[in-house]
Amino acid sequence: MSAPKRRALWMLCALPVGLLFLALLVGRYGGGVGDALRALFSTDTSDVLHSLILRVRLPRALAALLVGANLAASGAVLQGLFRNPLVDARILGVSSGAAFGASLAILLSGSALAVQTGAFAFALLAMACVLAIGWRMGAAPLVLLLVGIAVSALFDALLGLVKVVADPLSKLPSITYWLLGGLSGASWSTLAPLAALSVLGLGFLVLVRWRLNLLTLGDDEAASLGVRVRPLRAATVVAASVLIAASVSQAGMIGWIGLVVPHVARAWVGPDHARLLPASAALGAAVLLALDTVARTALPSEIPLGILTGLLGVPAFLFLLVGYLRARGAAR
Amino acid sequence: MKLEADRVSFAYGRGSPCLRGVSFAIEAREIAFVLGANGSGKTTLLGCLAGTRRPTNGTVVLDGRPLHALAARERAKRIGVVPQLHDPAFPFSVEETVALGRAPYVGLFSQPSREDRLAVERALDAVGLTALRRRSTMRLSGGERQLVWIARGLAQGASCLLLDEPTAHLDPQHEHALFAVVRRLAADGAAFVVASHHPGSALLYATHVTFLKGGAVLRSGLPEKTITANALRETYGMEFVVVTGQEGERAVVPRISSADPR
Repeated sequence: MSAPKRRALWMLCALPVGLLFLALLVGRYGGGVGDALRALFSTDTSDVLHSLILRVRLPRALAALLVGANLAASGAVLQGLFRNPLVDARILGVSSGAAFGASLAILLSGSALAVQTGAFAFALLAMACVLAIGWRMGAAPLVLLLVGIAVSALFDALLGLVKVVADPLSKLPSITYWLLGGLSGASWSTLAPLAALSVLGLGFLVLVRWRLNLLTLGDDEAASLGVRVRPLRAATVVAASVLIAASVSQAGMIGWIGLVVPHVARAWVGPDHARLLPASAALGAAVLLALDTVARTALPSEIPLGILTGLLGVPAFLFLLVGYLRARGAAR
Repeated sequence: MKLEADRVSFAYGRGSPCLRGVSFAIEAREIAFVLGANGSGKTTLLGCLAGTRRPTNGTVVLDGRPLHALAARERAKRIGVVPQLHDPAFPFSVEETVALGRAPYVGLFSQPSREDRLAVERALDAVGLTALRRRSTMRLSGGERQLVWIARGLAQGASCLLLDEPTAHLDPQHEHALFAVVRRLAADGAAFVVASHHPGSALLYATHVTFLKGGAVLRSGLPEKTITANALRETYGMEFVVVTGQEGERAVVPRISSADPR
């Protein structure tokens, strides 16, 4: 590994830690950064700001870090697996499954736990559908892609059905708001399952990080290197899906992070997954934490996170697209 | 090292066979050209020799053992494939691409070891690409790219490399440079099977030649004896002349009759 790439990787990995500290210090309640800094290190347990930071801001900031890391890491892995730099978390139908599951849970119960569980369960169901159907057809990337589109469309239709039957005064607005994405529901109790699943999924991907490079080859080429592609591809799809499912069930629909962040990371540290995976995760965590801090502090009322990632992600995507086309001589 | 196909037939699914009873053999230090028209079964034969396609009939034998009895990893340590089209989806560097050849040696949860990195360095050195090791394979010439994939095969530890139309996009000078490397590696003990559309290149660089037609072997043998006007006519369905120059160099020229449109 060349020295500049190694330096870029270390800088990226340090970024979320610094941001976490900053994010704890800003918020709508309480005075300036100085007060927050004092409160953070205060030993007085009756200090309201102190307990606010530890009970509200800290779990929310940690959730932002995990969701950002999960979305960006799974995006990087899926782009490699599909040999296509323009895919993201939505490609497998997992997010659509989660959206349907969450809206169904809002319709039937409304408790935060039910919503998180429902989103996660249906995300996994969508993944199982894609894998089960795709496996029978040979599990080639293009097959998984097309089956993913079909499953995604199915759950989108079911989501539409839920919206139609939902009470337009109480249930429908909360479904709509949930779909826009946000971390206002994050707490220590929702963080626990998110953290556990993130460790599982990211842990697996980090362990197989070198072999993920082999997935970017064609099937025949990988076979000639003695690699059994299908099981590795299926295991990777499961790990990426678990990360997406855990994130969406905590934060709703947050687009663009999984598409744009891996590109930026690839430009800095190169396409080798041994570096790309940690770099994407670190950058995704930092970006989402920064955006969530803006989302909860910029305006008197909270801005849905999905709107912010879209506002920032679309121009970033177009910028990257122009660079991508230029590199191939397809645009002037 | 000896790789043999014994009366190998192959069909995709229930389609008509692309290979019909092909027998073929290659040993260390040989450069065997497989010539044939489009669709004559060259690439399918390479797939069977590589072990990535299992013959529907007949067997491929590596050093006395049936190839399909070998574990995929063991096979990959002996036979390397340089595919016809390598269109990398991402800008992996030369070094990273060659390192993928170490896949049969690196465990599921492992990273390439020091030994793997040394094998990569040796392979880069063998094809003369050490200076370009950090360059993205997307920013290489066609000839350099072929060398990267050959180096990947060497990093695999393969003693037999299968090249599918390696010079399809190369100008004469780059073609010559590529085969200079191939001959040097063959002299060091490697074996090469080259599927090609250029009978002239076979005259220059091959030690053995096999003509395929309709999935069957038309003829095979030493290049100077096998590449004849008759064999070329039967293979490609058009007339050729095999000419000999003043210094004994030989070339294949299509014969264009005055009746052909100009």
